[in-house]
Amino acid sequence: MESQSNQLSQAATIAERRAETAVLPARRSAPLRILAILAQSPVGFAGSLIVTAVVVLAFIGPVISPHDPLNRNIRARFKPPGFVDESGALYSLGNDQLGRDILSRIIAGSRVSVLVGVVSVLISGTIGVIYGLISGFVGGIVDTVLMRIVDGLLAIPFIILVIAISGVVGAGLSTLILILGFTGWITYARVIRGEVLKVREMEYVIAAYALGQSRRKVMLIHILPNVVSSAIVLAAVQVGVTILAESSLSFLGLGVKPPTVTWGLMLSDGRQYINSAWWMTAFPGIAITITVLGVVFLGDWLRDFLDPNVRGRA
Amino acid sequence: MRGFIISRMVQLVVTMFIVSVVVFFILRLSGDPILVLAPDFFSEEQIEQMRKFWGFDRPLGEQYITFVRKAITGDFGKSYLAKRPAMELIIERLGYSWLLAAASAAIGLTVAIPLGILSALKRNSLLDLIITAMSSLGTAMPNFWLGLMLIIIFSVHLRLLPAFGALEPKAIILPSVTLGVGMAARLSRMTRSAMLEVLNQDYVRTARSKGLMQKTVIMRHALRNALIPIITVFGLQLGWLLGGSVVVESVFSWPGLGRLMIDSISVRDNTVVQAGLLFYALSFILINYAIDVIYIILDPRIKFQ
Amino acid sequence: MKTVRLLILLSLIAVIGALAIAPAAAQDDMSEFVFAHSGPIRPMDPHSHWYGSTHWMLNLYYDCLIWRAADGNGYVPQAAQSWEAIDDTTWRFHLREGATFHNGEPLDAAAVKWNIDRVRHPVGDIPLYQQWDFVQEVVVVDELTVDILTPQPHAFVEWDVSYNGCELIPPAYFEEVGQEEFNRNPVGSGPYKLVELSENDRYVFEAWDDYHSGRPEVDRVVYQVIPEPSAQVAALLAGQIDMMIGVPVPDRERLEATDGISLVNESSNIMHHYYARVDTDSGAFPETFPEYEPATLDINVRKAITHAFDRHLLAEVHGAAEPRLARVCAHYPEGYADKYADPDIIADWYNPELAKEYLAAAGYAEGEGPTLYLDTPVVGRGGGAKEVAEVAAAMLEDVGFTVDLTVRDASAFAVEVQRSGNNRDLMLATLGCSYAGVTRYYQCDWSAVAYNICNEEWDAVADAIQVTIDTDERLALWEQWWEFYIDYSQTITLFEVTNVMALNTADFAYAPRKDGWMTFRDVQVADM
Repeated sequence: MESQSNQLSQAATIAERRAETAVLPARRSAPLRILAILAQSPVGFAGSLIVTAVVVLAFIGPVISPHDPLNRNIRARFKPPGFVDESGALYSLGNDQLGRDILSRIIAGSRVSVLVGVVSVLISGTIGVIYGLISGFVGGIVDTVLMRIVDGLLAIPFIILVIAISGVVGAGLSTLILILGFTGWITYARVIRGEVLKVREMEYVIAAYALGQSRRKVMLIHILPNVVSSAIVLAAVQVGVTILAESSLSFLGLGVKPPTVTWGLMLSDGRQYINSAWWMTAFPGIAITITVLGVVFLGDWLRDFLDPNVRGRA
Repeated sequence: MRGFIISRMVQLVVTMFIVSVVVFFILRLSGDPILVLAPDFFSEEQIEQMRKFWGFDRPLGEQYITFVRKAITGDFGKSYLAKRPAMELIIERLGYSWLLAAASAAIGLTVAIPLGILSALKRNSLLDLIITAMSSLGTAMPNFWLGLMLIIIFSVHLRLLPAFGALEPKAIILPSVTLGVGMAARLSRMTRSAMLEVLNQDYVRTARSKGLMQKTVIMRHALRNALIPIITVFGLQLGWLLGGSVVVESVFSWPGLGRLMIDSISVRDNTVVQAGLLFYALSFILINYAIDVIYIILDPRIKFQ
Repeated sequence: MKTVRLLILLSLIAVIGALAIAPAAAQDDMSEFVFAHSGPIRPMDPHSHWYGSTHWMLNLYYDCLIWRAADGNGYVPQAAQSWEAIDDTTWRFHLREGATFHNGEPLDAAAVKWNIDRVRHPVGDIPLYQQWDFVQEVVVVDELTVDILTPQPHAFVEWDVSYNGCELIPPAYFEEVGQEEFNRNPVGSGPYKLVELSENDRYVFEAWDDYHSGRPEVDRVVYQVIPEPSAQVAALLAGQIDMMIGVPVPDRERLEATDGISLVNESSNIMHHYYARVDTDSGAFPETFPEYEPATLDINVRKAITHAFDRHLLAEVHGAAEPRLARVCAHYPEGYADKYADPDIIADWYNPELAKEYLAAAGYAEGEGPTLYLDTPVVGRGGGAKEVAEVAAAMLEDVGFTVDLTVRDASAFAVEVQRSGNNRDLMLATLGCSYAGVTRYYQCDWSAVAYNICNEEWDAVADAIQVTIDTDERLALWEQWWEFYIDYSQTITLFEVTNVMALNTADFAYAPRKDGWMTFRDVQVADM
């Protein structure tokens, strides 16, 4: 009896300590607090700045877009950056093969990147966390089988797997999001399982058992919250991977189809004309790079902040 | 040692079995590829006949068993379009892909390891910052876009290097640099953090305090120990390299396995895609086994499991 | 230290490998003409598929009996030295004495019969070509004479006998090795022998000294697969290739300005059309869209569509095309190019007001036309289709339609729309201008899954065309036939694609063929 209460108090201390570390600076309102933390890390600050900018762009794009991204002007196609048409309108990043404004299309394309990045990572994260939880928590033969499946899937390089699937099932925006969502979970499964194995042996979990809590309750209340931080760090990495995968697929003609505007599709269009119209490829690529860079920075910072023990393996 | 080999063999067979199930059923998701093969003017009757010829009229389970039975004997089926064995087509392209992978890995390692070490030794210096920034940039850039930019600069404008194919030795430069950069970016991050961890350990400090020259310390002690995590990442990066090569080979019209895959996927030549995916999986697994062996050589403390 | 050694080793492997794999450059004095083919290139067995752009290449390697003249007028001898129609249903071909295949096997009457019979009675997954239906029997008269008998008079024997599948392969060798090995190591009958084959990548041909009509002038012809037009342009500028087709719009000026490179325009013989659905029971349509009634069933809607298109602008959007009203190319031995290819007539045909009137006649209020589902691949045969479709959709919306445009990649388009017969209202069809075959697509017994058309009167005209050997009589029938075609408005013809070719004129002289085929028996070394 005594030893049990001992364990309990220990568990409580550990939980408290964890809570403390999570609230670093002085108690202020939540958004302010996050800003304060971010300000301490230039990388995290830059990352969040870029990511915020892209997300804002995705939402208010149509308002600030200089032209209609679908508006074409055949007579003014392949015009270089800085082109001014007869009405005096400026096309700062040039025109594409149908005379559409590259800048406006880049702004419009941010929407797809954000959508694909966020939604597919939500799908894959959910599946991966559940899968890893079950595998690690149940253990035994179930664990072995589940992990062999993960091994098998991991043996096929992610992008090739995605290319093969979208080649077979065809694609469009929603199909693509589903494909990326249902293939990306593999990355989480392994890491989450490892985390679960670690947490499972912690005193406070043992204590919870000793107190007679059900397995399900232990899993949901004690284990799940403790693997969430690893999942978040991984998710940040995966957002970048997913955005890159979308652009590769659209570039290869296996992803999103026009008239939806995406950066990968712009690259695919521009590829045909790289000998004479470099701006058609250069700018969308820069947009992808900056966005993913922002996500990478944010991910790095999140890793240092939330869970220094996790190493991304993307 | 024998136990190690046997357990790995069993693991290999199980993994390949799972891969084969996944690959086979994914490729059958959208039905058979007869509609791509059949010319415009085929009647439904003729299409049915063709379906029969390729065995698509059989139940899926039966098709899978036939596939596995033949695959074990090395027969991965005929390409629907080239009408030659799929494995033969893959082997025809393999040399080019290995070559590109070796060149990219060579570039990746030569760039990443020195930069990673430098970055770790001069931690928090301007140099470190620059190297870290560059490696983040390298990770964030889509590799095919980098390839296109290199083509614009070195082929279109400077006219120094060919933009496509493998017709002359220097044609390998652009694709291998494209892949090498991505690899270097990922590896140098890893090298840096692995070195940092090792440099903080007691025996390195001891070695330093004994007055051993900095260079010897790094080479003998630190790097050797840092190599293990680096090599792990390298192994995983090879998977990335195989995947990346698919897109990059398509950008540079490099006649390797990756382009064969893209070409076959776009015309749904499923036997080739299937054989290719299995081949990728097998090479990936074998590479990782090779890395396990390298571990043991590098660090005798790790035992065969 | 080990790492350093490993690195050096890896680099060494890479360099040595690169040197070993790169083919030895043509250091010798042989002339080498390299054509950039966009791919894919299909197997060497010429009877096993119908991929036109592979048959371009096969023509170098195999002889047919006769072949279409480069200028589009009449036919030239190949394996047959001469030929004549003995009566309305018997065609006699005289072969060359002593002619052989590359392996020495005699190219005689028995070999010709074996080849044509193989195409007519395909086995395995080789398609049955309706083109060859005109043959009733092939008769070996003597060693060098072969007769082709037709069941009824046939107007296009020469066309059909020189079209895909006409290539002659050595029977004994083929039967010995089988199809798979034949595709690996083919044996041909044409002026060039194959010296290097890397499937769907690179095909190197070398002039055959013993060709019956003399050794061709250029020593080596290479078909190099380069899928990307931009890479082809770069390769041309770098001197790696000598010819490409489909020069992207913005690169044209630059190539034209480059010394030693010229641009040449010639019809590709490929046209872009939109097929309108005119029935609800062909293909998979009834299962896929059970409740759907396509607006295009109404002929007034189809007429509204055809008058809504500014074909000149669509051709400009494509980048290299000439507007057309019907499946009649600029060079068209069967006449009517003046009528259906005339730029002014086509300009007048574009009439949004008339289109609106037709929509009103179909019962739609102004600006409230029906929804049209338009399906297109990103790239069709003969170039970009996606941009054209985007602009075409806007033109349809201008006259009151609502357009739902779906763009797919080429194979998805083939599987999901075209071959399965799932075209809903409008879909892209890219077709050649073969006058021998065009009528078949619109006949009652046509088996296409995309649509059913059966108009007894029209059908009768088509039958008559096929059996009318007299040219004037046939042209009169054609006139009627095209009127049906235009009036029915099922195939809404947009334009004929122009091949924009760039050629290394410093080293080679080449006059493009009128049929759009990229085959190089006639390429010459330029005068110095």
